[in-house]
Amino acid sequence: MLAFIGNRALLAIPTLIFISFISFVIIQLPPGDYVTAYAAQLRHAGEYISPLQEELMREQFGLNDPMIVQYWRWISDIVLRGDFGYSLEWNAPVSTLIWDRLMLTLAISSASLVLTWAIAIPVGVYSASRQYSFLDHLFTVFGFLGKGIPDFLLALILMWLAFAYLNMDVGGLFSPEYQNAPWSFAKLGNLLSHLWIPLVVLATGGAAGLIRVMRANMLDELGKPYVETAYAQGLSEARVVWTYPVRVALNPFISTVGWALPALFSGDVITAVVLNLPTTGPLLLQALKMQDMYLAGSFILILSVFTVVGTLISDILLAWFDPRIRNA
Amino acid sequence: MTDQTINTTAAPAKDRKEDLYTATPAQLIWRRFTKHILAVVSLWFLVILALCALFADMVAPYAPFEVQRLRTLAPPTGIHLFHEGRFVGPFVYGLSRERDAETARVLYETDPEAVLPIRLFHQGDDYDFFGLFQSNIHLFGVDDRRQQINLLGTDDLGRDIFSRVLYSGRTSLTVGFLVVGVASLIGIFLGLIAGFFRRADGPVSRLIDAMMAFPDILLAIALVAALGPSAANVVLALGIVYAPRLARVVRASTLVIRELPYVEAARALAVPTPVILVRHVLRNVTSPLLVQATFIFAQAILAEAGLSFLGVGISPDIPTWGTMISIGRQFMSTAEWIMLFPGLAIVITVLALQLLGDGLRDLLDPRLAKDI
Repeated sequence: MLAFIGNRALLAIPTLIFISFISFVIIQLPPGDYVTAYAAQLRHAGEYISPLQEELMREQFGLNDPMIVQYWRWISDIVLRGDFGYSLEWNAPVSTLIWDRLMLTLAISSASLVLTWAIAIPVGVYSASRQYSFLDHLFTVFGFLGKGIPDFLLALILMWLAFAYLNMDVGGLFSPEYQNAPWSFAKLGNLLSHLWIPLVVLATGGAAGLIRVMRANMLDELGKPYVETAYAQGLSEARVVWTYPVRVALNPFISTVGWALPALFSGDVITAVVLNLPTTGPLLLQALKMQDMYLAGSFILILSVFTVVGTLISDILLAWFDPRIRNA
Repeated sequence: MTDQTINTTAAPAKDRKEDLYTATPAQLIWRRFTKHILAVVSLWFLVILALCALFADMVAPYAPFEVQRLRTLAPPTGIHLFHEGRFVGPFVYGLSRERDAETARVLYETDPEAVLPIRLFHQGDDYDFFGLFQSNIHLFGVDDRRQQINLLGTDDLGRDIFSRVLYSGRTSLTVGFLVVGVASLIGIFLGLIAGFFRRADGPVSRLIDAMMAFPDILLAIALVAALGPSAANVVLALGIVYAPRLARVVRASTLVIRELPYVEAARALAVPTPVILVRHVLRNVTSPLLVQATFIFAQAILAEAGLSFLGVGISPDIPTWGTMISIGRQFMSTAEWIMLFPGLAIVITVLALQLLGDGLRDLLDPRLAKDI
């Protein structure tokens, strides 16, 4: 088991290196560099620096070095000192801006992953064990619709419905009166009344796909002889279904945890913009529009690293869960 | 395609089995495909949608930018057949326009007197069809100087939503199609190299893993932001984002095909490697590629709508389903149809592509193939 974990961790390292390099390329892609942007900002404030000064600054920051040297400086600052560079737009180090928002994004994404499972597993099991029943067809329709509807449209529609029929204001994380209030049950309730839309929006897309997977897997498993044996032993249906085939059919759920994260992060960005949530979304979008590339690149880098870590964890969980994979 | 004639002319039951032996592969594929009713319906829907988008100038009753100041935010109208209990053929009621004295909002009432029969092949506004020919024939329209037919309502500038949905479809479908093209070029190249050359497999696979780890919309936004917003860059960015998915599929199939005897035989005959790759390997990965491409088409339409909605994609002046929703969002509480109909267009199109992809997968994946 330890060897398996070590092997997987080693495989993740080159992936991480590629990710950091692609992030750096994205940071470098827009025309101009840090100094050009800085000079433009100074001009905006009514000051002026000469081209000679610009050149000196470039020399000082090492912007004339080859790309690979600059990459090395950037990544070693991040890994060794936790320094993600400087945001010109916000006039602050990137590391002071991102962590709160990243944690909120991670929290919302994890919560919606749990919600996805909570929807997909029972529904998938039911659909498989009552194949072609009315509810099975209904869930199938829901599954296809859930995959077809864009996240932002679902968020908009739910927001509109909540506003028009439930008379709720669902933008942001808290209502104004709770914004700066100390934590209390009322504040928690208020948070939940705002948070259900992003959770539902994010969970719908994922659940729709997983229901299909769960149903297909369960149908495969339910036809196998061991299920018949279990029935022949006189076990109740609930016992048979939930104890044996479900465990096997759950494998793809665990193995896709890591791959579910990018979709959740993407969904989170769009949903957060629609609902005005203080997650990575709005800040990242603004950073990209302003070409504040160190801020944007750091967000993208860290979200992708989360994904790799998530994949690693899901591989390990899968091995722990299923001895066939561990010993393969 | 020709199997219907065979089915009807051949004597039933007895010749059925013999027919199976004599049918060409294309007939067998088509026959299996038509078992998936949903996939067939989806295919027809997509064909009709593509035709409507292509001939949008003709199908749409109005031009997408035609502003009607006296017809802003008009609600959708239904098509009626009976007027005062009498059958008069398809027609719509005209709208009378009033302004609320207190709120200054424009209110529309259906005018039960104004019966506007729908004319097919109606002579309306002039248009220039892709610079090929000029015409003023529209598929349908109404003969009235003051009234219009706005099946799906109008937006804040009085532009016809139905016409705009069709023109937007042209953009959205084209973007989706081109994204699949770009993604295929990159994906096939990477996948073939990773799958065929053992030495390249490690690094290329890690690169694919790394690309897959980026949240798709985020990477696309970042690339568009860095390259500058334009339709071409949106296509390029989405193509890059979805290429790794195709690459994985191609790599997986290539790994299997590489070991097959006919590849070995080709090598023994000293066929150059590029020729083996294209003629023997690539040709045999087309089925999984086709299935995956259908799904990516759907994903690309969703992603393009998302980018346009966020304002980082195609310029807001070009109508796409995403930009239409983004405009309609401001009028969500008063004129929900502006947002809902382009949204519906996205949902149905993506749904059709998914169902088509599912059907193709059942059809082309030998592991899932059931008896004919």
